[in-house]
Amino acid sequence: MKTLLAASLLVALTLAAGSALAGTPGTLAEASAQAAASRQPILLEIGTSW
Amino acid sequence: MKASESFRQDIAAQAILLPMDAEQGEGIGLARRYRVYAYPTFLLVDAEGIVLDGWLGYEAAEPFLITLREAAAAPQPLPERRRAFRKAPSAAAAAKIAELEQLGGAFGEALAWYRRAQELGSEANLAPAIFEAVARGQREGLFGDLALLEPARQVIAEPRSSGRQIMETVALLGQATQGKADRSVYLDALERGAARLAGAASAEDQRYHAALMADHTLLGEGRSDEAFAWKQKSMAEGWRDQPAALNEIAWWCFEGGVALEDAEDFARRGVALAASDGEKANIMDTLAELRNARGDCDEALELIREALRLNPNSDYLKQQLARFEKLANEQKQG
Repeated sequence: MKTLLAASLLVALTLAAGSALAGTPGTLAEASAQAAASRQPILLEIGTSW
Repeated sequence: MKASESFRQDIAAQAILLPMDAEQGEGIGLARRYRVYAYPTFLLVDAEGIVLDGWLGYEAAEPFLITLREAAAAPQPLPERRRAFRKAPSAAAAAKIAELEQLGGAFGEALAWYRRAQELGSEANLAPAIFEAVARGQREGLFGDLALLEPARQVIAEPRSSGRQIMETVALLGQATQGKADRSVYLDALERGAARLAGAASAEDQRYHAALMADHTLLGEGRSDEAFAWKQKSMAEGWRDQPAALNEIAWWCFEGGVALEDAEDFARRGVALAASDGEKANIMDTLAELRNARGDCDEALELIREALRLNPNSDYLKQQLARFEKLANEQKQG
């Protein structure tokens, strides 16, 4: 299967470990609650885990 | 994020990070809601989920943080940005609105705003973004294939366009013309892009040049052995130990019908080295296509079944299973 972006051309930074850390939201609802409380925006990363 | 703790903390100082897999769970709906068309897409949203800023693709850590800091410093929904523009028009504001329109899938509007930015004397190199808006719009039927020709030529001719921007432009043209009888627009860009990057100084640009030569030699001249040699030259150092790279070259061989035996070896190695079930399933799909192309539909079917066991939520793999089951049945009957 071809991936949407050629992964070999990119410097992979993100995903995978994000939700495993304590205090990190796992859903948009959790992130929204945190955002409302902290007045911080949410950085939503939409990708794939591979 | 697969990133250092300090990098994570730098992100956390600006925003609440929420990584979502576009093909699993809540991510499927979010990818649809935000009209995500490329991975990864980064969206800065407020607590209501309204988009304030956004961008595509990974960068190295430092430029990523600069992008994030700039976005977090001036977050504004699109309607507010349009209102602000009407009060105080500027090339930079028009270009930002164009980017966000494009990110939301409004490619015609994006193009109009990029043109506006150019009219207002933008000093930025907007050629790659304009090309992308036209290419995505073409995919949605807004523009015909020929509309891609001039924007692509402008990206390639523009001295400030990087090797990567040229490569991505040509790759998008390849996607846009995939399976079409007339691929002259793509061949034109392959030839011009390869000429532009010939003799490039950096190793990265030399690889892009080799990648363009591989496709040009194969599609434009039909010389598959030479094309395969160029393709191998285009791969980054250590590619034989990297599953994503092994998959990339194996898929290229499959699509071009080139060196299928070598491609199968690459794919098998990629499967063995894959770091996650998702990645393994992805490369198994490539291997299945190669087995099928080499006449073994039964093994292809087994591979797809195994891939689906590893990644049971993939709609693509479900479609592949149905396809290979049909092929295997047809072979048995015929």
